[in-house]
Amino acid sequence: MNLEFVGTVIGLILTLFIYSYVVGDNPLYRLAVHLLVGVSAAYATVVAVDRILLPAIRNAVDGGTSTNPLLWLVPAALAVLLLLRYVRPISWLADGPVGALVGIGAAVAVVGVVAGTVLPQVAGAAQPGDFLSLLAALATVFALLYFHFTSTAPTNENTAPWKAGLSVMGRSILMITFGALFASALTTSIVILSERVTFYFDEVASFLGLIQ
Amino acid sequence: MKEINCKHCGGPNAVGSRFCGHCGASLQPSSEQICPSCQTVNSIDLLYCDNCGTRLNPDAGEEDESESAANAGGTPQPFSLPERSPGQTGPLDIEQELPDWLRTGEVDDDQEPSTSLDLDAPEESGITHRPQDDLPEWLVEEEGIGAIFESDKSTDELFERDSTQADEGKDQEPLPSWLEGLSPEGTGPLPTLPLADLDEAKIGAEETDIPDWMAEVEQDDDAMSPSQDEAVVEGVDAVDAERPYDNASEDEFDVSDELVMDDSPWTGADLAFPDWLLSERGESPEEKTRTESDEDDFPDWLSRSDEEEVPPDQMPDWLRDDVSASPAPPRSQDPYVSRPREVEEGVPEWLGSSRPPEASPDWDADRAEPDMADTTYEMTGIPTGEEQEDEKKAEEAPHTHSARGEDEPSETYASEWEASFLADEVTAEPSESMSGDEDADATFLRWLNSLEDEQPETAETNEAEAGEAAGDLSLETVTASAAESETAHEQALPGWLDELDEVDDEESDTSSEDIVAADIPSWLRDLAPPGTGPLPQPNAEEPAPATPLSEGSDDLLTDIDTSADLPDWLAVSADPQTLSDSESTEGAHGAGSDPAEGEEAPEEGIPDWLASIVADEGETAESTDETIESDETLIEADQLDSEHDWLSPSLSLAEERLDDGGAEVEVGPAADVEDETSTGDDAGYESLPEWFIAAAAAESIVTDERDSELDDELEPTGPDEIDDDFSGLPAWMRDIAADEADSLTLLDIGTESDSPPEEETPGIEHVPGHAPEQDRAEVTAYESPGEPAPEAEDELWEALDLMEAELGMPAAADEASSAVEPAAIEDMPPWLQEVEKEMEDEAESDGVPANATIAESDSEMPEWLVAGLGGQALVELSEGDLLELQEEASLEDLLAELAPPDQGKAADELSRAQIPAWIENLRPGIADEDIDFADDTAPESGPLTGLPGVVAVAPAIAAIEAAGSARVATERNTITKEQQQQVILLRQLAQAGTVVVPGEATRAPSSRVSASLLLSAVALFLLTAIFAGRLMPDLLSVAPPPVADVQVAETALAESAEQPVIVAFDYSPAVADALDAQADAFLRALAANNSTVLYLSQSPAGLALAEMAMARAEPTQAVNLGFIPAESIGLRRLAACLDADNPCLSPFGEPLATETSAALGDAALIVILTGDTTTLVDWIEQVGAAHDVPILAGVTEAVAPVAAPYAATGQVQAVLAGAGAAQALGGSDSSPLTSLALAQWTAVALILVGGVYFAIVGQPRGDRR
Repeated sequence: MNLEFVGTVIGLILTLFIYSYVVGDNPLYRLAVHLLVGVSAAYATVVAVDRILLPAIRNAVDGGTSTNPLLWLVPAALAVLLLLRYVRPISWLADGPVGALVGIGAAVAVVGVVAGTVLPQVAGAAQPGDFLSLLAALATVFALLYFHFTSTAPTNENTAPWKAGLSVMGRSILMITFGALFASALTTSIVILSERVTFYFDEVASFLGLIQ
Repeated sequence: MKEINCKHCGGPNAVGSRFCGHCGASLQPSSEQICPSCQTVNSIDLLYCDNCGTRLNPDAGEEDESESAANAGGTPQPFSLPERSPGQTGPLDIEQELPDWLRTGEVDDDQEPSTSLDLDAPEESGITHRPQDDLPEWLVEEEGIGAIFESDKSTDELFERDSTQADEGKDQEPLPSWLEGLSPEGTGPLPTLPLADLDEAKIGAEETDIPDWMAEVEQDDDAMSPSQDEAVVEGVDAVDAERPYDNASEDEFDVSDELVMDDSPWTGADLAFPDWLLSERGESPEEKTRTESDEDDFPDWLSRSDEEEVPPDQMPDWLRDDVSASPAPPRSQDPYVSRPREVEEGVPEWLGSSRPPEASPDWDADRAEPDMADTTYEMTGIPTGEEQEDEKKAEEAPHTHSARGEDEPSETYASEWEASFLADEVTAEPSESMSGDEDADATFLRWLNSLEDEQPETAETNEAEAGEAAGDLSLETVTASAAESETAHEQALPGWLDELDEVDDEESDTSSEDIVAADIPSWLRDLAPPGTGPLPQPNAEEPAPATPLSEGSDDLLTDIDTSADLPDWLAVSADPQTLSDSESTEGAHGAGSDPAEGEEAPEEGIPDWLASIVADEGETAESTDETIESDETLIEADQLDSEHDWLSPSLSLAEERLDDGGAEVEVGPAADVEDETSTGDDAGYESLPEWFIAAAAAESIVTDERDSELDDELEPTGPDEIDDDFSGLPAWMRDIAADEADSLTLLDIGTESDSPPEEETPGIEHVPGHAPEQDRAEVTAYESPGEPAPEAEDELWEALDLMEAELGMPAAADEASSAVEPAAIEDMPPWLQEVEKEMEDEAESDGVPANATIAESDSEMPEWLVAGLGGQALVELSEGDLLELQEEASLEDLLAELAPPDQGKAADELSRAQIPAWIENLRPGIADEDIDFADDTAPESGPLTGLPGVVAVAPAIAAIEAAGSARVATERNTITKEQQQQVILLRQLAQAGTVVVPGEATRAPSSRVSASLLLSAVALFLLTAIFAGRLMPDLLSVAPPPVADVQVAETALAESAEQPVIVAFDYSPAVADALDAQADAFLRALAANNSTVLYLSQSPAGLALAEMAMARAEPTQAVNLGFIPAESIGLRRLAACLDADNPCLSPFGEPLATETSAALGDAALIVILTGDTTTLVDWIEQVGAAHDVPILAGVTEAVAPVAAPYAATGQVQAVLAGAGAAQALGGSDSSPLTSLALAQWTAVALILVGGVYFAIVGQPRGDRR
C-alpha cells in the first residue's frame, strides 16, 4: 500500500464527508470543509512564503541580481502599514497601502476591461449582418435598461409601457443568462461529481481487481 | 375555673383561650407594639418608643405610672412636658394641664380650715372632682417632691433622697399656710403653724421689719423656687402641695425628732425656717392653730424648750441668762409661745426669732458643711488677752481647744478648719491698746479681714502702724494688722478657705480685698444689720477686677436704700452714698493711703451697727481714738430712733447689757477685757443672725465648690465672689438667695461702668414677650398701695427677670391668667392672683374661655413651665411667637436641665421619654424628614409585586420639584447611554413578538426529513446515473460533440509547435476533476508538438496541480514560472515579459533567467486553464489585449458562457469547456461522458420534476426569502 493509495482513501473519506451534507449539516461535513479550508490556506501560505517572501529576502540579503535592494523597503513598509490596520489607534496608517492596492488594481482592471472587454466586445458586436451580434447588443442594452429603470423607479401602473417593456426584456435576458450560468455551474458540478465518483469507482474497482 | 377578660370587649374567657368568645379578638398577648407616633415596632414591655420616645400606650402608661406611684412609692416619677404633634404649631393647650383648683381657683380645702387660702369648698363651687386628679403625675407623686428643698443638690440626689426618705417613712417638712392654701384636695390636712399666740400687731411688726424686696422674693419664691440647677422641676407650691402632711400626724412631725435625724435628707437648716419667714410666707395672723410639724421652723434648742428642759450649756449665752433669770413660761404646744420674748426685745423681731442658740444646733451639726454654729460659738468666745496663750496652744493642737478659756475639758472642734481658724485669730495679735471690747471687735473684724488675700506690703505696714499708733480700732487698722500675718492667715484658714485662697492666689488680678468681699455673699452684705460695719471692700485705687458680689450688692443696695421698707440697718448699709464712701475710704486705706485720710473712713463707711459699737465703746471705755470719735459722729441716734424704730429696742438692749457688763449679749465692744464671756461679745458680730454667720462661712465653701460651675454658666461673673449657697437659710430660701446672687452678679456686669454698657450676658435671655417691667408693675400692684414702690425693686426685678428667663421659671406666670373666682383670688398668692386675673381677662376679651385658645399641652405640664415658655400667658402668644419661643436656646437649656435623675437604666429610658413630641419637632431638619418616601404598601402589580417599603419615586420627585430643585431632580434622573441602550433593548424584547427564524430549527421535523430525503434522492439519482454510465458506457451512445473550437485549438497548438507555450494552471483542486482532463489534453498536445511548457499559476494550489499534470503529461521541456500574485497586476507585469525587447523581471523584481525571459518573449501560445471567470477575463484583458499571442481557454462548463463572447470576438482563439471538449481534444474514452451525460440528464429530469412538484404543491414557506 503506497502513499497514493492512502491519499486516495483519505480523499475518498473526505469526499464522502462532504457529500454527507445531502442529509444535512453534520460534523463530518464540517470536518471535511474545515480540513479543506485549512489545508488550502496552509498551502497558500507555504506557497507565498516559499515563492514570494523567501526569494525577496534572499535577494535583498544577498544583493541578488536586483538593481537596488533598497527598493524592497517600499513594499516592506507598505506591508507593515497594512498590518497596522488592526491597531485601532493607528489603523489609519493602513489606509495608504490599501488605497494603493485598490487604486492600482482598479486602474489596471479598468484599463484591462476597457481594452480587453469593452472595446473588443463593442467592436465585435458592431459587425454588420451578424444577428447574434445584434442580439447580443440588444440583450446588453436591455439588461442595462432594466437596471436603470428598476433602480430609480419601480415599475408600477404609472410607468410608461415602453419602459416597462424594456425592463421586462432586460429582466428576461438576465434570467436567461443566470439560467445558463446556473446550468453551466450545475453541469460543472455534475462533471466534477462524475469525475470524482468515476475516479473512486475506478480506484476501488482497481483495488478490488474488478477492473484493470 | 379561672377566666381571663378580653382586652377588647372585657368579656370573660377561659384560660388558654386564644380568641375571645365574645368579640373574636385575640387573647394572646402580642410581643410587639407599634409606636403611634413613628410606627416603630417596639417590644411589648417598653413604655416608650425606642425610636422617638413617645409613650407607646398612653393609657397603660398612665395607669402604670399611677399604679407605680401609688404602690411602689419609692421610684420617683419624672414629669413630662406637653406634647405637640409633629408639624403642629400654635399655643400649647394647657387647659387640661392646669388643675381645676389652679385654673379656677376653687380648691377643696375643707381639710385645712385654718389656712389663709380658704378657698371655696368643692361642694360649694360645684366641683366634685378631687384636685389631685387634676394634678400632673409628678405633682401628685409624693416621692418626687423633695428636690425643691434640696436645691443645693443635684436632681439625682434629690430623687435619691426622696427615695430614701420614702423608704424610711420619714416625715417631711411642713408647709407654710400660704402654700398650704394651694394644696389641692387630697393632699391631706396641712399642718398649722403655732402662731396662735401671736397677735396681729406682732405679725404686722414682723412684716414691716421684713424688707420689701425680701418679702417679694419670698412671695415670688413660689414661682421661682425651682432653682436653676435642680429645683426647676417643680414649683414650691406644687411641691408643698404634694407633701404628705395629711398623712403626718403631729407626733410624727415632732420637731426634736425631726431635727435630730442624722440621716435625714432634710437638714436642720432646711427646716429651720425663721419665724419671720414663716410669717411672711403667708401665715395670716388669724391662724390660731398649727401642727407640731411647724416646729421644725425652730432650731433644735428652741423647739425642745417647750417640751423638755434645754440644758443651759446648749443655750446661747444671752438666752441662758434670761432663762436663769426668769424661767420661760410653760409652753403648751406651741414653741412660739414659750419663746423668750425678753431676748427678742433687744433685737428685731425677725432677727430675734431667728436667732439660733449659741450651741451648735442639731440642724447645723448635721450638715456636712463646716459647722458654722460652732464657729459662731467659738467666735463669740474670741480669745482676749490671757486666752491667747491657750489659743496658741490650740494652734499647736488644733483638735483640742478650750473655746471659752475656761477650765472646761477641752472640746473637740467641730472641724479642723475651725481650730485653724481660731489659731489664725491668735496669730493675728490685736493691738495692745485695745480694750476687751475693742479686742472683740477687732477680732471679729480680723476674722473678716483674715479672709483677705495679699495686700500691698507697704500699705499694710503703714496702715497697721497708723492703727496701732492711734489706737485705731477701725476696720482698716485691724485689717492691716491682720494682713501682716499673711502666713499665719493662710495657715489658719480653714480647708475650704485655703482652697479658695489658693484659687485666688492664682488670679493675680484679684486683690486681697476681693477675697474678703468674695467670702461674704451679697445677700449677707445686703442683710448686714447696722453695727456689723462695712464689709471689706476692694481697693478703690486698684479696682478689683470683677467683684460682682460687692458691686452687685452695692448696686442693688443703692436702689434699695431708697425704699422705705428696708430696715434701718439695711437702709443705711444700702445707702449708695454711704457705700460708695465706704468703698472709697476702704479702698484708700487698703491701698495704704494716709492714715489721716483713714480716720474719716469710719465716719462715712462704717454702718450703723458698727457705729453703734463704736459709740458704745466710746461711752464705756472713753477711747481717745479719733476714728471712734468720728464713728460716733457718724451715728445719729435721732435718726435711728426716728426712722428705725425696730432697731431702737435692740440698741437699748445693747446699752443695757453694756451697762450691766453683760456677757451674754454684747452689743458693743466695751465689755471687760478680763471677762471670759466678753470674748464673745463682739457686738457687731453678735448682732448678726446666727444663720447669717453660718451662711457666711458656708457660702465660701460652696463658692469654692461651685466656682467652676459659675464660671461656666455665668462667664462675666468674675471669680469666686458669686455665691449661691446660704446654708443658714432654708433650702427654698437658699435657692432664692442663690439665684438672687446670680442675678445681682449679672446686674453688676450690666451696670458696671468699666464693663460694656448693657452688654448682654451670655446665656441669659429674656423670654420673648415677657417684659420685666410687667412683672415689676404687677408685683407692685398687689402690694399695699400705701407703700411706695421702691426703686430698688427695679434692679431686683431685673435680676429676677433674668433669673426667670434663664430658668423658665414662672415669674411670668403673673401674667398667665386663669379664671379665678374672687374669693379664691384673695386667698391665692399675689403672683398667682395676677395669673388668674390675666387669664380671666384674656378669656373675656376673646369671648371664649381662656383655656379654649390653648391648643394642646401635656397633662403633666407644670404651670410654671407653661408660663416660662412664653414669659406670659400662652393664650397671648401667637403661633409665630410660640415657635420663636420654642427655638430659644434658653428653652433648650432649660429642658436640658430638666433631665430626670439618673437612676439607672429605667431612669435613662424615662429620660428619653421626657422629651415631648413638640420639642422633638424643634429638631432641625425634621421637616425634611417628615417626607415619607417609603410606601409600606406592597405593589399589586409590576416587577416589585409583593415587596413593601419600596421607595415611592413620585413623591420624592414631586417634593424636589416643589422645592424648586428641578435641576437636582433632572440630575438625579439622568441616565447614561448604556442605560438608555439597555432600556431600548428591554423594550424591544418586551414588545417584539415571536419571530419565526427560517431554518432547520424552525422547520417541522417532517419537513426536514423530507428535505433530506429529497436531497438524498437527488444525490442517489445522480450517483446512479454516474455509476450507470460508468458501468454501462454504452447505455447511451454519446459521441463527442463536434466542437469548432477544438479545431481552432488544435490549430493554435500546431502553430506553437516547438515554441514556448505558456500554460496557466489557474484553478484550484476543487475543480481539478473538471479541468485536469483538459490540462492533460493540452499537455499531451504540447508534448506532441514538442513545445516548451512555461507553466505558472495565480492560485497557490495551482502549481501543485501543474506539477501533477506535468507528471502525467510528461512534456518535453517545462519551465515553472512560479506563482503569479496580484492577479491582474501580476498578469500585466507578466504581459510585459512577453515582449522580447523588454527585460523581464519576476514579480518580485528578480530578473528571470535569460532562457526563461527569452522563452517568455518567444511564447507563441497561452493556454489558460481556469474555472474562474475573473481569472479568464484578467488574462484576456491584461495579457491578451496587450499582445497578439493567441489564447486558448480550457475552462469549466460554468465559465464557458463568460468566455463565449471573447471567443466570438477573437480575443480567445478557442474555449474548450467540459469533459466533452477534453474528450474531443484528447480523444479519451467516452465512458466518463456516458456517466456525465446520464448525470446531466438526471439533473435535468430532477429539475423538471421538482418544478412540477413545487408548482403543484407549492413552494415551501421557509424558502420564501
